Amino acid sequence: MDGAIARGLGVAGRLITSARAGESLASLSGLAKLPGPRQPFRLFVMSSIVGIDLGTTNSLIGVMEAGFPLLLADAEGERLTPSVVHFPAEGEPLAGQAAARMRVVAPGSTVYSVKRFMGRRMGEESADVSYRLSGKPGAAVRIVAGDRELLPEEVSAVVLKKLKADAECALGHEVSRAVITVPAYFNDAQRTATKTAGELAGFTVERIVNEPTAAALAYGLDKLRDRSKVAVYDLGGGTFDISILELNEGVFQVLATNGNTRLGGDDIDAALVEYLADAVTAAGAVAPGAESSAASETWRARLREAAIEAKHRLSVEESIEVSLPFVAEGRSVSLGITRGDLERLARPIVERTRAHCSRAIADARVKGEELDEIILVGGQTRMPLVRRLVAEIFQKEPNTSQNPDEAVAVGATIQAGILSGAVQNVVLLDVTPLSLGIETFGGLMNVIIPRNSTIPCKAGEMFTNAVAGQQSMLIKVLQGEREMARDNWALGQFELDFQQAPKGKARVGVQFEIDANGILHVLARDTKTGVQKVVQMTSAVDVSDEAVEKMLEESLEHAFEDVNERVFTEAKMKAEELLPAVRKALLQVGGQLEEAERILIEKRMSEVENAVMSGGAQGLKKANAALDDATQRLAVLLIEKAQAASRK
Amino acid sequence: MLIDHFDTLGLPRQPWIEPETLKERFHRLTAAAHPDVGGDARAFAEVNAAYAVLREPGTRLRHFLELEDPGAIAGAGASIPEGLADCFMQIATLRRAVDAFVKQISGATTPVAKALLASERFTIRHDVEKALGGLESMQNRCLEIIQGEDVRWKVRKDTAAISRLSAVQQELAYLEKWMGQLREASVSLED
Repeated sequence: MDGAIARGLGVAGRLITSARAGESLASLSGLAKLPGPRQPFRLFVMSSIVGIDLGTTNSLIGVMEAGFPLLLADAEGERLTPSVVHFPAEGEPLAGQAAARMRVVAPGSTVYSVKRFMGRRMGEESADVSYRLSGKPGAAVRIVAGDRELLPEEVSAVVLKKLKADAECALGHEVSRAVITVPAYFNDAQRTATKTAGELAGFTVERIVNEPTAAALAYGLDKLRDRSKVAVYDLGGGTFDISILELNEGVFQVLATNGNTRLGGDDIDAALVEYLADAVTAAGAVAPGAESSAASETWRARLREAAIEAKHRLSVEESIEVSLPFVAEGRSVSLGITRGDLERLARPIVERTRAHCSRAIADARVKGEELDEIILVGGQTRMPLVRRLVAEIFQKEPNTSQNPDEAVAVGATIQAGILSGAVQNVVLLDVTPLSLGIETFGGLMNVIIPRNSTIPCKAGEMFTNAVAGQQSMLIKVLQGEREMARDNWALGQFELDFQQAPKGKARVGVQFEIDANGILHVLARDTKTGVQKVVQMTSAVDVSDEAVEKMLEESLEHAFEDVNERVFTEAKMKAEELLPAVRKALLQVGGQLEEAERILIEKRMSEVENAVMSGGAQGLKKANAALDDATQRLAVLLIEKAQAASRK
Repeated sequence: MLIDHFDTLGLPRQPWIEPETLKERFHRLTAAAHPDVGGDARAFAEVNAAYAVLREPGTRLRHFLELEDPGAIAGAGASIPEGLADCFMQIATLRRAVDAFVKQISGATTPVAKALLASERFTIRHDVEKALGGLESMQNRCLEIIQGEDVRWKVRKDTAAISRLSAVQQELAYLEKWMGQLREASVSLED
């Protein structure tokens, strides 16, 4: 992997050398007491640690200045740096706004939303981006940008380097230590990849901190005398987190966290792109065929830009005109979209946050009504629909006091201040989001550290030999909440060595430690000698086991399959579920429909039936969607009826 | 050698601790001794571990008994206490029903198909909540017994008290386990 990194970035080595590890915090804390905002001595600022929000869409950097978190702007005066990297055919990669401008022009060599691929394996994450991915199924994802191939952390490092350079420019001195945020629901591999990205950019990463926790710090810094319970609802570009915290006179304790690292504003953008693509095609403009990939990529990149802009505008306006000049073959298309149209597309996506909220509340052992505030962060929470749904889930109006784009960076900066000693009387207690365990007999997951344990924490486990003379044992380490080992995320594995002994007599104690960054360390202790040593885990990435082979087989199957045929089969299955369901629903609540509604539903049903017969994939998909649309009120009536019955 | 978690938090070794007292103690120790504010990492890890054990009344009572009389803890093979047997059957049946329902609803992909299951969802959710409520009141009764024993323990530490507490501990362990399972079932109904 080191070789790959050096190949990809070329400059990584130089930056790593500037990292200073192991500086004592205690020796720095005294410096923070130096007075005055216009501190002329470099000594004070030299000890500073920057806070970084490394977002899916945008990134920010800040520093504590005279006791206050201050976000730093780049040369153009912008605090928000797009997390976009453009790789020109020659020369250094471009990051930020300059790269974002290249997205439509050079979609194949401009990388955005790379956070989705951090610590991921091929096949885990859908590849619906304008640049290519490579790697065998099950191996670490690699990003293909132009003729370069990089790991996601190398791409992120380019963004971090830009932030570092901008911060150094603004502060007038070098910065080398950083706190970087990650989604609370990031697993071990995703956290480690983020830490590596920081190191590649030349930082000593002092702490990986969870985004919603950071946002809670930003919210609570001026309320240190308070005692309260709050929830942070963080819906960003690519990830969703919900955290429940207790604030008690400067102690910020996370009680529970939950989330989804594959749920965010990007999903809404994708749904809107589909909608626009359909509408543009319906208006008679011909989309470039999939076979001309460059033209098709550019076309979709343009639709994506238009979709994002439309989404933003519909947060403040009720209806807008989207104009796409010369969208295909020189034709221009103009479309009217209402907020209602967008909400119909977005609702199922935003609804998915509900179950995570329930889980977090249950795990935190609080009741919804005990929560004093529901704090919204993440750009996607600007959407009125999101605010309405949050109010509905928590039965309380959300708190919008925090800047949704900046709260996480402000919090990262405060945590940096806590570590440097610049912020006093504040301490953060976070949790590990996922249960940690090992595979045991019968392929079951044996939990060693349960989810939502306060970190740093450790737990020991004793292992013994199952047969006399057994030399070693393979231990598979897992992360996740599923009962079966194979359904969880395989963190890695290690060989545990035994000394010669009769059956059940050899004993090795293994210590699992989750550090303050949420990253796992494994120590093995020989009970005879008392010698403890760090166990190196081999990453499950790149390991060729059955799962990988299975994924490989499946992907090959899919590669040879006719795409159209698959789309039709899926649509047919949906139709077969939909038609009887609608008939049953009509029997139950059809009487409450208007005559016109009823006629429309019946018309849409016969259209689906005809489309099943005629065999066209796209036609059936559309007919299904139309029937889904026509039966929305029917579904609402059914739920209302059930609710009324349950009240009795 | 067993670590005394009561001692780690500087609390008297008692069967009962008020949740607020415990939390305050933990937060004050955190504010003073967390590694981020210059405290010793190893010492704080012990504080953290102690709080994890003591915050749940069931695990706390178990730890109390371990320290007072390790023989008082029922082994893993112990049978379900009398009076909980019906409860056990009820929970198991309910959990099976929830699992079956969750499987059914995850197979429904269209809004109408999901809506058709709404009435069943409400019924099952209601049953789970009712069962949880039942367990909660049983748990509360256990907690009241512990609080009563706590008052007595302060004046008289005898083996009779240990055996009474041991019975409560066993019951509480089952109740807490089942409540956890039902909470899990309840949230899985929302997915």
